[in-house]
Amino acid sequence: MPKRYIPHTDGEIKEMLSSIGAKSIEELFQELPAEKRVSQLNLNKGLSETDVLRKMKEWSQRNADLEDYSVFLGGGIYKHLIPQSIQHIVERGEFLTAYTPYQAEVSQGSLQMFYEFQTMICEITGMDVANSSMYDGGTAAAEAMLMSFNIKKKDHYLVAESIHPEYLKIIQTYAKGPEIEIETVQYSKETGMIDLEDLKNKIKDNTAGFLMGYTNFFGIIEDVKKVREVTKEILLTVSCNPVTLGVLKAPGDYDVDIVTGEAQPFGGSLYLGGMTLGIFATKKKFMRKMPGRVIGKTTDLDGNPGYVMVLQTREQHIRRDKATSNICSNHAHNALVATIYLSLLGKAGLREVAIQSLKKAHFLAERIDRMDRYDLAFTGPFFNEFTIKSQNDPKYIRDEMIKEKVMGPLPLLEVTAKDEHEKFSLVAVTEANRMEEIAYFASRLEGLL
Amino acid sequence: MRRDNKLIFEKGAKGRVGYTFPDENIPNYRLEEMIPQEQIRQISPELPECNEVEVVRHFTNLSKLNHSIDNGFYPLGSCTMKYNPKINETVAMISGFVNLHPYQPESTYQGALELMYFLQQALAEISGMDEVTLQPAAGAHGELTGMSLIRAYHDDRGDIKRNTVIVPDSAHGTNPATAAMCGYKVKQVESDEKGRVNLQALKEMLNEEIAAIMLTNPNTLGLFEDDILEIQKSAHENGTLLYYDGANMNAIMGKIRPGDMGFDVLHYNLHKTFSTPHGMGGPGSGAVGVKAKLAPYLPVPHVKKDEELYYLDYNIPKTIGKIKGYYGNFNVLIRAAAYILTMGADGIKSASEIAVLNANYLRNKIAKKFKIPFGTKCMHEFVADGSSLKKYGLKTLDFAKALLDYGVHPPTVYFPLIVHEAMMIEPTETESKETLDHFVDIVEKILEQAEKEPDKLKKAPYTTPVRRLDELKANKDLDVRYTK
Repeated sequence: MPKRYIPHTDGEIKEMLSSIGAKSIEELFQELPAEKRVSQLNLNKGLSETDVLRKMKEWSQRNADLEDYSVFLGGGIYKHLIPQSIQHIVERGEFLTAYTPYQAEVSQGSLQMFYEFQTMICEITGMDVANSSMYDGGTAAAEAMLMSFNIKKKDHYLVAESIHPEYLKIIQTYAKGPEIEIETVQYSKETGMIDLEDLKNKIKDNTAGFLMGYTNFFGIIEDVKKVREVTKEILLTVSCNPVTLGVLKAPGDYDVDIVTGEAQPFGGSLYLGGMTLGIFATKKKFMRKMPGRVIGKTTDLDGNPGYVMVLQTREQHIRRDKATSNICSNHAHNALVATIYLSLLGKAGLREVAIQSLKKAHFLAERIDRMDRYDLAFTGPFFNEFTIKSQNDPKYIRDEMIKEKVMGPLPLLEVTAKDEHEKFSLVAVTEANRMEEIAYFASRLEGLL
Repeated sequence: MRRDNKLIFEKGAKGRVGYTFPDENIPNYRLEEMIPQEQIRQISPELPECNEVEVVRHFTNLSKLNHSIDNGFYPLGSCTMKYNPKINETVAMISGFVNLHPYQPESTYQGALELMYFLQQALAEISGMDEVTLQPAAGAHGELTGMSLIRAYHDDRGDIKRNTVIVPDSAHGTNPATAAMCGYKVKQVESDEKGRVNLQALKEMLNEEIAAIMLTNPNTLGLFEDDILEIQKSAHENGTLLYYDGANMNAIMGKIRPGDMGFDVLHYNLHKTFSTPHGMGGPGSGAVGVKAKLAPYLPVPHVKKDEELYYLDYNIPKTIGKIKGYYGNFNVLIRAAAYILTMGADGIKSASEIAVLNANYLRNKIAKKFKIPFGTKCMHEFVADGSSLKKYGLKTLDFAKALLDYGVHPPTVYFPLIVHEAMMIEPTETESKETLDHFVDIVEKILEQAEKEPDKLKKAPYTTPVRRLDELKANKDLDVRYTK
């Protein structure tokens, strides 16, 4: 028995059993059907701390640690500079080992932080209300689809084909239960932007809404204004990388109905795509249809300010099968990371991150575009990620770059599985890419035979 | 210590920052050269302007307003608030795990895949299932995955009449909510006088429209569903599948396996049973285990091994599709794997044994103070009825708030719904006998106080960072964001 986590001495176990009036621990399990009992699990023997560390180190050493690489991979997960102070705060047990704030009086730390987080998401997206987090950008988009269906009571939903391919697949999975028909809207092969004619033609009487990326998966900045003009009758959801909103006009300024996004870039580590943070914001009038936990301000018996969970009557623990969503646990701790990140960067910092990423990406894109064997794949405006077309096989390029301790670009075909993307690669640049890395990347790319 | 009521937005000063970027010679393009003029943001979001010291102090001081496992006892029923080992944090911080991009080639993260494969195998062994997917982000997300698998299974067989799911009246709220999200009608089966699923009623409800029964065993009263073999037989004879809500798995590890009890699909809560921290409500992991007959529908990708190489299998023709981006909450998976390595087969079993011992020890003592409506013993948790407080004009809520003044987190209250004034108490195995005895002392003290000065208890707590909060007002005058 690992005494480290289980404090009981043999004497105490005896004493406790006798207090219960049981002869053995086994007696407490008597109701379990004897014929189905398991005698011994076929698992490892318990390891000491040193041996657990050794095993984990062994596993980690079989990975290419991107700390030692220049990273030009994106596709929804980005390597940004992360202030060191974040990790020290978020590891505090009071944040890490607390549960959902059911007892508000002893959860004011969590609750006030969520209120601050909601405020920041509203400010950045330009929306009225935000919840306190979703699992990730993909599931947040799927919940937006379900919310549109619930508001409009219509079972046809449009999704831009240029959205993150994994998001589209998640939406298709979520649509099966309520039997919502998902139809994709094409993008222009020239600009990489939503084909507005196709969008117009596909809006039917039973269309509930439309989901688009801003930026889209190819890195292109969509023209939300024009999209909104042709989607006046349906609910428009914009899925964003919120870092871009340090410079790009807020979706709220275009009067969109729902904003979702992946906020891993707000201080989150890469973790193989396993430290995600879904954001979800909407207009005030749709607040009661929103999924997830929402925190509100109130006062206590002495009239002092405090925070509690509000609108719980939308949620599963009260409404059960009539709830707006089944979501219970969310990604609270990752929201803490984002809140601290945004507090440290602040107004100037978010803009600085966006501008640096933008400038560095454009600098690299220009250099690549000038090379003989590479072109930009699309003519639409892009932010910090862009698609290139090469004569070489993108996988060959990627593998050659790895030899130079450069991770990326991403062969687009691997994610979209579309033959038309056979020669396309996605290049992501952030402020974390130093100018000399960018120059090196460009020269290696040019030097590939 | 006095609480500082200021929000981060009310601190700092114009022009302050908490970061430093490298000084680099970045090309000086104008924004209009890069993006269309009309898409450039004119008004910056109102974010804080603070330096590092202010931010560190703000959040450190906020953290002090929280109760957490690291602070003290947290017997929140159904939530398995066991100690979250510190070595799990150390290993989750190893650079070779942290700094991996989901789209780098598989050959460059074989160690991460091996860790995931190890976890899949270990979880399958613990639950008696054939395959495990680690993708779902939380328990409810695991339920969504599991119920989608059930739907895919029936649909694939052309068994499309099945449009209803049965859940017990004691079920977690996520069960009916999930079933509804998967397009199913929900029917509730009542509990019998023993607090178990009413077997007869359940059998009568079974017909060709019943797709699945969702159960947790032990149930939310902390009682083992002793008719489980009979339930599974009737269900399977009817072509109905059995879903196991793994929220209560901490009661049975190494003793009995859901797979052997006849469950077809289940979700684990790695953030409960497998010790990963709850982080104020997430991220968790709701890994899902299935019997072989449901494996053809698993979400993509699935971690597999081909001789010496680990890989992500996307070639699952009948898959329900994708359920989450990338490959699951990897930072949670690392911690759960560390827990299993640390505990091993015997440790896992001891965890459940001592969890059940602790619950019974506490139950026995609390039974002298409160009515415990069902059973004479329990598994890992039990539900007491606070109705006896009525004679003092008090409710369970008052009792719960009074506990806060003694530095103890209250049990889950008013759940399950079938017990009036419910208090659901789950001590977990990591609490010592002294902690449990101390809790009993506190309960006695509060009951004495309830008798002597009930009005005072109605206004508890007194010593917490804030006093009792006005939830009605919060919902009426909704204020969900700060504005200057």
